[in-house]
Amino acid sequence: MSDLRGPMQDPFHLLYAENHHWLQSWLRRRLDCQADAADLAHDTFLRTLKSNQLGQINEPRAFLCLIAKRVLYTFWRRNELERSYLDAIASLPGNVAPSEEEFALLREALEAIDAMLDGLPIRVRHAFLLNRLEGLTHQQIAAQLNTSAASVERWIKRALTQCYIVQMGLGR
Amino acid sequence: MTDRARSGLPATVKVAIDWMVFLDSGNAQPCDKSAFEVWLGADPSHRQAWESLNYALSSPFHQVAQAERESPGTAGAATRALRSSGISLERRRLLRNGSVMMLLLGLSGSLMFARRKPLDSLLSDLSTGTGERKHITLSDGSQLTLNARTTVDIDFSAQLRRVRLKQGELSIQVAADKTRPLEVWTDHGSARALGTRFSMRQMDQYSVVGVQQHSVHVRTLCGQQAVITDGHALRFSDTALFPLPDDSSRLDAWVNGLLEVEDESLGAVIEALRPYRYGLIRVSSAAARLRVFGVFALDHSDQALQSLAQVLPINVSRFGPVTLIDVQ
Repeated sequence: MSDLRGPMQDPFHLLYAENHHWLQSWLRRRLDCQADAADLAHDTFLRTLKSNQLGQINEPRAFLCLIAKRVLYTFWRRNELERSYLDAIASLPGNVAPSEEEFALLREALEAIDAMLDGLPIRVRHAFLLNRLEGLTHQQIAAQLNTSAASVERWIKRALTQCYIVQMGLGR
Repeated sequence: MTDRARSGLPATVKVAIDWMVFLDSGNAQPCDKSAFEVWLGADPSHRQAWESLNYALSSPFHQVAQAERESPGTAGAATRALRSSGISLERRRLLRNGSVMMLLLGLSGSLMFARRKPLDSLLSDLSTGTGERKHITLSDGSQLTLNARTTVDIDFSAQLRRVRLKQGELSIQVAADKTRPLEVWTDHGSARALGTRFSMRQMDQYSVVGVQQHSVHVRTLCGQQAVITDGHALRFSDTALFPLPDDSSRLDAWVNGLLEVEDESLGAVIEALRPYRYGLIRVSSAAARLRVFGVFALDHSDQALQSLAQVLPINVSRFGPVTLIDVQ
């Protein structure tokens, strides 16, 4: 019991103790599920801890809000990506339901690709995916997207360059 | 191979990317593949660049390819899932719906979103930051001016002079060259000129072109075309053309550091000031609808806001780097 004062002086413990409940209900108002809200609240604190800005936070709740929004965004994006993939699989003819294990691996791959393509315009993404994942030629893509082969080439080059930069960690 | 972007990358990597795009284009012949082998063997740095590129792309894409082999249709489903980005509008709204506290936040975090230079600028030939304008003489003698927060690539060949406006706004006095037209490209289409002066601006959903001298030929990505003569302006998306009122002479007033508006919405005026300000400006929708007349100095945007507050029924409040504008 004599240690009680110790952790409470630590800025992170203080931040957690004072704001955890508030943050969780803030998240709960935006999510349908209590368990998700609890998970994401923990994610948020973890990221705050990793941000190395603990000493400089003037408005703790505003700061947490900012981080929580990013956590929420990632959570929702992941969620929607998974759903649209499963929808696409479901609309395929025949029975191609992936096993649990296959799906787990694939989901990771999809998230990695999604992160690499972040910020690219939709047509650039689409052209690149048709080429890279489905092996379509520039001509075929141009016909499908109603554009010129020269644009397709430019878009694919742009996407490829971004992938390289993101993967090699040159973007920051 | 076009596109001289990507100036931040090692030259060998750029060549490796060109090779990869070409080899996977469906146009490569057996002799091209031998030429590629020759390039690969010509210098150890070539192989190294090729391998680093393959490494960068390997794991997630291989995973999908493997799944495709096991259950055909997977790759198509992956394309459909990945081709759109972001989250639903409804969720986006939930995120935007921040408390007032968000606005009072004096932290670099939220400003980074507004001020962050896009990844693109690392790869581009020319760019300007917040509050910065640049005049450049291109190799053919054309005079290019970039407005603040603008990124362009220059790609000149023997047949064509291509300027790619990736974001922001430019004005160009094109040097005459009958054999080599000059084209400015945005995400939505292109404007083609022989010798003339015009300005172009890229927004999220559309681009705007205004002609100050002679004429330019606009073509949207989907092929709609129009010829615009001096004094006229046009807004276009990738699928449609929308003529604008004849006030294009003022569209490039920013070149001289001025913003000239005549019966423009306050929202549009603030949009034009944005690239000149660090921090955030929020305008309520009621305030954004107010009509504005006047000439403002872009380099003194604080003064511009002050004079707006004097003539319009608005309140301008500041919280550190955040400026809020609302009706009184």
